[in-house]
Amino acid sequence: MRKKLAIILTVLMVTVVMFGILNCFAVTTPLEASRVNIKPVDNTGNTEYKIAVLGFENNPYWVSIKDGVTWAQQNLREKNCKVDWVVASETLDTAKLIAAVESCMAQQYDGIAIPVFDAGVVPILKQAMDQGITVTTYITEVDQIKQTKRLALFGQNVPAGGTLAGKTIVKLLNGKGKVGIITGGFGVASHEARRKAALAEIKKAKGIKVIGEYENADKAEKAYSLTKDMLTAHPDLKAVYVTAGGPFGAARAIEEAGLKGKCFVVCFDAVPDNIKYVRKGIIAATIADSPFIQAYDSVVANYNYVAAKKTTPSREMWTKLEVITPQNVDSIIGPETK
Amino acid sequence: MHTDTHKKNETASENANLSAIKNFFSNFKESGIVIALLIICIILSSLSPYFLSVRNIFNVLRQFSIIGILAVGQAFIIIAAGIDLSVGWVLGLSGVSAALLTLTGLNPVLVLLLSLGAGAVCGYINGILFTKLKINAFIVTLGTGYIFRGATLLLTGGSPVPFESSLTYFGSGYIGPVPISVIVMFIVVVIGQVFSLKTVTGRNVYAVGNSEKASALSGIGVESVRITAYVVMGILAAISAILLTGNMQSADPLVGSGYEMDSIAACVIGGVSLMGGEGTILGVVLGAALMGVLRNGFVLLGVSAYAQIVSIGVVIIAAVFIDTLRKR
Repeated sequence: MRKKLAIILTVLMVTVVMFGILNCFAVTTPLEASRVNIKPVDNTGNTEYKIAVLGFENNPYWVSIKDGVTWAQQNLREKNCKVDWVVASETLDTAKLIAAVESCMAQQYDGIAIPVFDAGVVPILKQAMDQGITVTTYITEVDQIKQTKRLALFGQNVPAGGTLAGKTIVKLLNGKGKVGIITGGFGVASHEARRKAALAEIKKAKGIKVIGEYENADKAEKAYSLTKDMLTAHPDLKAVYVTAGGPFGAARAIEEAGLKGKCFVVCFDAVPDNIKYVRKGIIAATIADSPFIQAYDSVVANYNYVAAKKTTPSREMWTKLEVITPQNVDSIIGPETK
Repeated sequence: MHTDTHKKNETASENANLSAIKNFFSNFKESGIVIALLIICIILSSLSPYFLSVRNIFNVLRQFSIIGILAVGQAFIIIAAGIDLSVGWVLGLSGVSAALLTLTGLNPVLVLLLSLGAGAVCGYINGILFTKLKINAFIVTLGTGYIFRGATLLLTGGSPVPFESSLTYFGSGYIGPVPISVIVMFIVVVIGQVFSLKTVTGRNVYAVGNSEKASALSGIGVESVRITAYVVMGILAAISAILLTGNMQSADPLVGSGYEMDSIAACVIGGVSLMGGEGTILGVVLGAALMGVLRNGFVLLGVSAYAQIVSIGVVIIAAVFIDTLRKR
């Protein structure tokens, strides 16, 4: 009996896994395709090129990135350029990213598009560039890579994003009130840049008090617990600033405490979980940076240089920062679908 | 003469009192952790007026309820001289399974049963690999942890899955001021305590952990006891998944990461021997409570996040040291 039960349960689990695997191959329609900035050049010699896009898959942000890569894949196929999406790891792991770059070098890719969160990746990228591989970066990069031959960065001006978040908080609070800060990790350069830049703006407003700064490791449930604790210690808390993943956990805690309209969240990224709370008015602002466009442009610019030595207008191609609020969410994201 | 007798009586009385206190501490196995917990609570309540508020007490209980539930399962495994490093990923897989099955429009009761079934199957796989293939539990669960993690990421493509079902009530609901997750934890702890102390299988878990050979010679089914412990762990991980993802109404594939270490830490703080054969369910939940109280207290006091990490490590070592002193 026990064996039969185990077999039934195993079959059920395998079915669920297969359902998910099939689900993975669903292609999202590229709604942002009309807003991309870089157009592919003609491949006059019809030489076959291949470009690797290295990334991670640990949160919904990567779904938009992957959609941008898929769109570039489809557009460059007719130019005889093959684009491969390479998942380095399911977490932001520098060692695994280095290993993925080494693997791409061994496979003699013509170009690599890569997010550079950590200076540890720079030496191997220098080696790749010396080997003749064109490197573009997307999402973010560390300062050390700016001194190399990398073609261009396509991403958010991270400190500018933090500054915009800080200014938004000050504006929404009319310059007074208590703010709690939740950051993804104190060791993550981009999270730190967002935290420090926002803090610099917040500190300019004398009436705003920062009650504490905490880590949530990008997890919504940790943001939820931290916000509940902050609300307990400071019932008059007015705003929670979340620099990275999981802001909807903070929004959920505010909603549960019945403080909608009295306390709000300011955060980043237009992922579905965040947008849900923007529509509810608990996330008062989320700053989006078009991951689809970042990914697409970084791949196509890489191809343009590989195929025709065409450079970009600037070595830092910042994507537009959009502040999505309950007032403009429908016009930017579209109306809510049931 | 009279004075001497009086002094002797006083000394005897003092010795009897000391002996009674000593007996109490040696009989009450969780005394070390209770003292540590009380000291920390007294300090925190004197530093923060909010610490002992009803609202905060339920916050703390809710915050450590997930670790508490997982630690009960982990305790059974460790007492039976095993370990489970895959528990966080079993939690993730069960949660994601529940969310995906909900998207198919399946009846919530069926979703719940299948999710619990997924957890049970994961536990069963761990138990079989450990007992039948005789692979070290540490290695087995490290390996299956990767498999479960990979399966979860394959299922979701790395993105959270919306979890909108009546089942979310278990994670986000309250009965009066009490979060349901806290009630679930208490039920699990009571059942666990009774099971470990009052049932034959429960006592067999201790026997297997103390001596595998002696247990086998006494006719105890060592393998079945250990497999049962892993299946229980899997089911408890699935229950935790429903509570955790239900509260967020979103099943993040990485939701369980780190819970394996927290559940093991709660066991160790609560007096469970990593060598097996020793520990109580009550102690384990007190260990989880200690960690929860510390984390909550630090946020209430606005302690720097860097200092929090150091302090938690120090308190874990201190709590275990107090327990070691008690055992001497």
